[in-house]
Amino acid sequence: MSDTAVAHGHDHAHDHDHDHDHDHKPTGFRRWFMSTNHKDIGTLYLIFSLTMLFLGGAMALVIRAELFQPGLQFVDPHFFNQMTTMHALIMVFGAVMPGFVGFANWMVPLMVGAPDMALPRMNNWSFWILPFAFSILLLSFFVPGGAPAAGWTLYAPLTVQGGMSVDMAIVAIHMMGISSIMGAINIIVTTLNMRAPGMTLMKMPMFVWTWLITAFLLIAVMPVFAGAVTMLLTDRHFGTAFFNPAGGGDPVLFQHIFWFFGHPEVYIMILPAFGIISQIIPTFARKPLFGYSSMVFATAAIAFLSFIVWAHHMFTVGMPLQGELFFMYATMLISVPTGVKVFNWVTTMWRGSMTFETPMLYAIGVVFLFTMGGLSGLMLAITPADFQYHDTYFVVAHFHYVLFSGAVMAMMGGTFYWLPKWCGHMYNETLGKWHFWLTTIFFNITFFPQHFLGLAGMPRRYADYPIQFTEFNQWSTVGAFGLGISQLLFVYIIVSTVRGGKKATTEVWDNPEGLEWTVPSPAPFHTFDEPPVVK
Amino acid sequence: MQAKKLVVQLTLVAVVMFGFGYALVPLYEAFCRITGFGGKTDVIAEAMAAQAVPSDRSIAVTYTSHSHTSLPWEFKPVSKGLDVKPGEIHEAVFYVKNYSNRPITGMSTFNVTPPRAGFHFKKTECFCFTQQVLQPGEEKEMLVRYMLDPAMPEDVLELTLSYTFFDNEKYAGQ
Repeated sequence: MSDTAVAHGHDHAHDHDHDHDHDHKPTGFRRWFMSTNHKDIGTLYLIFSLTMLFLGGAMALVIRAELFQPGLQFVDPHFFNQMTTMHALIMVFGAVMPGFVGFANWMVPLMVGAPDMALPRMNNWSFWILPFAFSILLLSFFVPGGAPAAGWTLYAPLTVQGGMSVDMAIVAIHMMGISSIMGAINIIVTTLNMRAPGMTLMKMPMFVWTWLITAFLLIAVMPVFAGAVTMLLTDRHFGTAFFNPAGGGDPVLFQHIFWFFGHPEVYIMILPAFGIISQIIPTFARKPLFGYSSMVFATAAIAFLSFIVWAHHMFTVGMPLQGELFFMYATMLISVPTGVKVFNWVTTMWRGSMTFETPMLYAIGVVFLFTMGGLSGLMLAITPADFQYHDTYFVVAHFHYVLFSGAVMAMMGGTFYWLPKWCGHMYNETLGKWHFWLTTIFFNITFFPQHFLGLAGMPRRYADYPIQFTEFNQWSTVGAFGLGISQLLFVYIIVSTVRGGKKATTEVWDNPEGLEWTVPSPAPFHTFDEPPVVK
Repeated sequence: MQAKKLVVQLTLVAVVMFGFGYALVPLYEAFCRITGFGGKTDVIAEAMAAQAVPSDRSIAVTYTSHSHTSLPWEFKPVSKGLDVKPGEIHEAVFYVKNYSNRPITGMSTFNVTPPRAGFHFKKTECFCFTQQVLQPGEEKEMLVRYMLDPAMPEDVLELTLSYTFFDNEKYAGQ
């Protein structure tokens, strides 16, 4: 499919434009399956992520098709639940996380002036685990009872009772976890040990900083999640009773452990997006990033706070008043460092000589829409209000505003920003702008009405709804199909840019900052064999 | 070499955090016991309970009980509840009968609502969280001796004791 198209195109472009003597590389199977090259592995991650985006997106369209009208039209409720569960698992672990790891693989060595990642062989491992993990997860559709249907949070005791698919999901999660942890270790070692001479920590590009902090979050919480699903597994098959009340366990304990992982996890999915935005905005505002050090500290503060707010996902589970208050205030506190970031982005743009190429449109779109998602998050943080909003479409709207128009759109912006560097060709600016506007408009048509649905009381994860919710759901479904179809344009732009187009210059943009713009476009197979010196 | 050391350290962090996930289990238990979170109650010795000075306010205590759908037992409180003065020792009696034609191991969980009252609910004897085997057709009365701590918050005017019996066959003999 698009995989091979991109791979071929990439190869081709390289052979054509770039035949430095020292730049020979293996071809075919050896190049892609046994690669230890950070750029090739980055490409593999990005293609994998895009494939998963379409797969998860197709599941979202099944959900939206079913919800176009009240009543049951296309799928039965059990399959609907499989769709919501798998859509989330695939988007979180298959699209967003590997997507950012792909960006890190490509850009971190280029940005810190390193020849490759610190542990290239492990890099190959961490990627090639993923296709197997997701094959196992997807094969669960074909076992008796179908795929997991308990929601991506896998709450016990429902998952203690589920069929074989839960075990497959657990194995898949273990594999994804190992992959992420290896990837995170690699990024930390690369950034801490392989920076070019003169690049102190406080001179690192923001994207590298956000990924460094994200990598620490990954190492801290992925194992906790692995522990939680291991307890689930032993509860299911080996007679332990961590979560099973029949044996004296506590189902609420699962929620605590899950969200102890889950809340840092949502920052794992957004911090690298902040990093990408912080690279794009200064380039197109033609001003250095405002408040660099406050950006670094804000990122670290967000990461720290993410560990002490988990129970805001479970206000309604029953907690002492003091607990509710603590988690409410701690959650609200996060808006301070996040506000610092938004302020800095806006201030970077202030009185800049701004131009609005596609990456910049995406960056501004993310700042605007992510902030909306942040504000609905602040509403959800208010404990008494949350008792009403909990598990309604208001929550669905909230996390799609932060995850789609935050994380995914930042990756799209990052793709347009660095694609010329990756493949050596300029993308078609008109098509890029079309893609931005189609995506943004259809995204809002899809998710904005869901705020109203949630406030009016429509619960999430149901295949049916009372008729008064019909109209907003129809808006949402029309928007979702538009959003899905618009992404074909994204693939078209990428494939056609990889295959040909106007040649990109070394700098690509107008005097951008960063070491990645000092290597030729496309970036040669080997870069920075001699470390650059940063003043 | 510096890189190797860092890799080892980071791997260790990951392993420790895996352990931390498990450590959350006893931590959570301890947290619930200390705070009464989740309606966890306290067990004290009979002699200690006898020393408490009864107060003159009274709290309406209601007993409820359920038998999980997978368990063919009847399980009900003998009385619906009563008004209790904090500091007095009371007994709640529950009736349980196995309607099936096989012996079954069951285990009951226990909970107090509102949760903030849990900490001040002191049991001296209880059948919960221990395995109970009922022979086919066997019926039994089960006993809870308890006292409400005189330090029970003033705004707690009523509370509910709730028991649920689960099928514990899977864990029988552990």
